Amino acid sequence: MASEEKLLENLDLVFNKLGDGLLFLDTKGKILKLNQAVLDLSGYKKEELIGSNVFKLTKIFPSKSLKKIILIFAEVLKGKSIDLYTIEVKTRQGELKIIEVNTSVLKQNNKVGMIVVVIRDITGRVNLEKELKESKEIIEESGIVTFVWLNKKGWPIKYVSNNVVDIFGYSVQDFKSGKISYEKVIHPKDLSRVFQEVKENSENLKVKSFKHQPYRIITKKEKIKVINDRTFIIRNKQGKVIEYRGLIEDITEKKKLEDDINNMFNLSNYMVCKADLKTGRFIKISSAFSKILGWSEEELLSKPFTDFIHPKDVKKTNNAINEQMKEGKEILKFENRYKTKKGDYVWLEWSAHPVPEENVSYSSAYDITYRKKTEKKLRENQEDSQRRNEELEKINNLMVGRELKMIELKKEIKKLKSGMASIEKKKTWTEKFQEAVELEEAVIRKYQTFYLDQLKKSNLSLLRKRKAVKLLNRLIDESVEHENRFRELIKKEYGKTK
Amino acid sequence: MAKQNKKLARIFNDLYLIEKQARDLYNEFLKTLEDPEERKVVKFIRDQEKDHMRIAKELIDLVK
Repeated sequence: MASEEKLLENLDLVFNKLGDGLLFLDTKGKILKLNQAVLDLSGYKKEELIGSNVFKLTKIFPSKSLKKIILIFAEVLKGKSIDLYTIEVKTRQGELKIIEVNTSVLKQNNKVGMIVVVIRDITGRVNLEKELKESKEIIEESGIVTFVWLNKKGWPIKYVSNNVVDIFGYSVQDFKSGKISYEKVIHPKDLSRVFQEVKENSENLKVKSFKHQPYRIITKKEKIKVINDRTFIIRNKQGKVIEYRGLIEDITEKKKLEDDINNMFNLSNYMVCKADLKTGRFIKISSAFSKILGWSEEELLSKPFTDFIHPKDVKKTNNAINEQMKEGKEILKFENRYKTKKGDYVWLEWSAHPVPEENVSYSSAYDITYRKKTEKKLRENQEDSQRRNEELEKINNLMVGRELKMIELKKEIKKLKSGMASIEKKKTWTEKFQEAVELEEAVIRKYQTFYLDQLKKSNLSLLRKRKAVKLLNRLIDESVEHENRFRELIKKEYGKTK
Repeated sequence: MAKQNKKLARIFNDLYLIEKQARDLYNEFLKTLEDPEERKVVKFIRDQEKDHMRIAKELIDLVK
């Protein structure tokens, strides 16, 4: 007897140590016995549950769960076997838990004597499954296809998400049945590279995941697509690769757009760039930069751009950058000098569109060195011309004054001479003609240079300018002729005196 | 009238005065010059100076 008691005591101990909850009910649903696991799960005390009718435990069973229990109870009493089912229960703390229930009967004299209920808390598992399902849905909606490849020849597919058809055109079944292998969908020209990337990363035990260089696939409709593939390597304890799990993304359109932008970027003769305003470095530059400056793209990206700017232009460039950073101010026609690889400088004119929230600026520039040189030359010419004009004007004023004075003086002299004719010898014709030569020379000298120049620079209409130039040219030509004629007369007079 | 045009008008006015002086001078020559060939030359030049005075006037009008 003592041994039997000891046995029952031990059974009770085992009963309470069970991880799953165990309840014994009578045929009316009254709880006769329960173990510790039930108390732990529900949060209730033993005395609060023992003797209670499960159909009245509304504080524990929400109505939906209660209905289910009643239905199943009826079935069990009829002697039917019931599969596992799940219901929701509310703990004493108000927490909702999901439990898996296994109900069976204990018969006595071929009649249902007692109902045995085994319960298991599966809340964690269900939530995890739910989260997993949600994650899977999110991944599938994002357009990313998940693959699990076995590490065997041809990479047979263990799992692939339903959205595989969206990218590859092939169904899950096509892949899982082995009708199509992954190796076959990779573009033949990219296959060896993909193989190599898998091989290299698999051999390195430290690598847990790697990203393939984008590669091409051929879809069921024989369309070529470019994809991004991040692969996770799954190894056993010995480090041997068992399988690969991959996240595949279709980047065909993205790549096309990127290629188009790059082409536009590089075909342009303009220097187009994206610069980081915070670090003061170029992020991306068009090929025109290298063509014009002589530096390679790597060289230009490796240093802050101020390293290439003429020391005298660094301050104003930094000021312009600060304005862009602070105010997001667009910059137009900003000029500075950039050093070429040969060591000389080229003038660049910039237009910049900053995006301060990203600390970047999109800019374009073009080489204005020739324009700058021309402007400099023009400025020098203008200064020179101005200087010359001023000198000529001075000379002219002096000359006109002198000539007029000379003529006046000569008149005075003439008058004096006529008055003194009786006592003084008359002025010779040689001298008179010489006076005429000087007068004609004065006209020629002035109008040939200074006045014509002044006329060209005036704001007269083109028509008037042309007419004036024509008249002055005629006047100059005829004055030259007059001068020559008077010189000939001088010669003749000279001949007479000889 | 722009500053530059005023300046030009002043310049052409000076030109007119010089041409007028030339005409007067050659008129003076013709009063006493006896050599017929020389008279012919001076007369021709004097007439052209008259025309130059007209040109100078025309230039002044152009820039006004």
